[in-house]
Amino acid sequence: MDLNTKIKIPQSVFIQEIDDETVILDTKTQEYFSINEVGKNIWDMISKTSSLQKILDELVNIYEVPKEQLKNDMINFLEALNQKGLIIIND
Amino acid sequence: MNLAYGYSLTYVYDSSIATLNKYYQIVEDSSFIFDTSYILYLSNNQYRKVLITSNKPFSNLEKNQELYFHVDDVVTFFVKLNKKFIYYKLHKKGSVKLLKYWLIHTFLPILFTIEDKYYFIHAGSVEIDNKPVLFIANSYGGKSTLTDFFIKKNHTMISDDKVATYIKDNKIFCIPSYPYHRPYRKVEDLGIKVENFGKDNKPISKIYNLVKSDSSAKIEIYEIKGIDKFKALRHATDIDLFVNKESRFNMLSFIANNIKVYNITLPWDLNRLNEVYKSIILHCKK
Repeated sequence: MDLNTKIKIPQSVFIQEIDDETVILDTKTQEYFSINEVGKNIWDMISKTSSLQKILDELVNIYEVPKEQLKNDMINFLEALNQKGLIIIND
Repeated sequence: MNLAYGYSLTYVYDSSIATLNKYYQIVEDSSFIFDTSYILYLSNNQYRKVLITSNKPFSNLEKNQELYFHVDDVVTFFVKLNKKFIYYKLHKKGSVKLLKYWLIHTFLPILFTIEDKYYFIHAGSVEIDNKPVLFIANSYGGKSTLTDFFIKKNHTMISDDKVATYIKDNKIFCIPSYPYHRPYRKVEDLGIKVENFGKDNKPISKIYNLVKSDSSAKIEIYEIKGIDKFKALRHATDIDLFVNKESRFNMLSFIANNIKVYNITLPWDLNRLNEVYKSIILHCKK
């Protein structure tokens, strides 16, 4: 996965906030996951754009973290989501 | 006429029933053909093979879609979604008693789930100070034993096993299910008739998640939040069918965000049940 990869959220995956936590449910597997605030921000961005470059640009504006580190963290997070089937990579 | 989950059920034709808002006419009919074009799987623990089928896909439910619920050797039910008639035919091991059991205990909750009328929570429920309280737990986690203890202390029963819920005015209401209680979980049996049974739909006050513990454990009650609360409620979802997935997830999340859920230690010792009872009563009064 790199900044040219296009991604989207499958129709079988839903998100809700419960108390101060965010829960993602994959209705295909019935598995559910909790993500933190940064993960929730990235998730909100994925639902608006499939461009990882745009998501990274937005994250750079929010967090005071070196861009390279943000990029690595974002890619790691998205690869974890992809492994769980919570996002789809568009070829 | 019987009442189940707020619906009047009549097994013999009664024209006055049409004046009611919520009713089903239960009609014997051996002429319908069991359509198995689409199958929805359901796990059950009643030692019978059961099958939910339809003439159309379950992924995109429609009004008038045919729904069949087949219990091997016992009974097949047939409905058209959102209609007022439930047709049935009995098979070689079928009886009126088994018909009522499968209709009330299993088929109606499935029908209401598929029609997205109610969200079912696997819980015992009683009133404490006129407010409904739910007890959820893992299987064999003490729900029915504790519910039974409250019933014996003359608390009004809302449900022995399945609590039907819905949203009204931003509150989560529960509906008295049916006036039977099964303290010993006898297979295919509705149980003992309960006289002190809920009459009105009321907002759920709180939910206790029973945590099976060592017989000498100290009884503690503490609120759970976030993913822990979601896990407990998700585990307590009673009719977990692959239908209406998004609306059911939203309903579960709404319940999680609007009702307080507490873990309570349940020492595995019947002699300490009264202590648990008193702790809950005291907690409710706070």
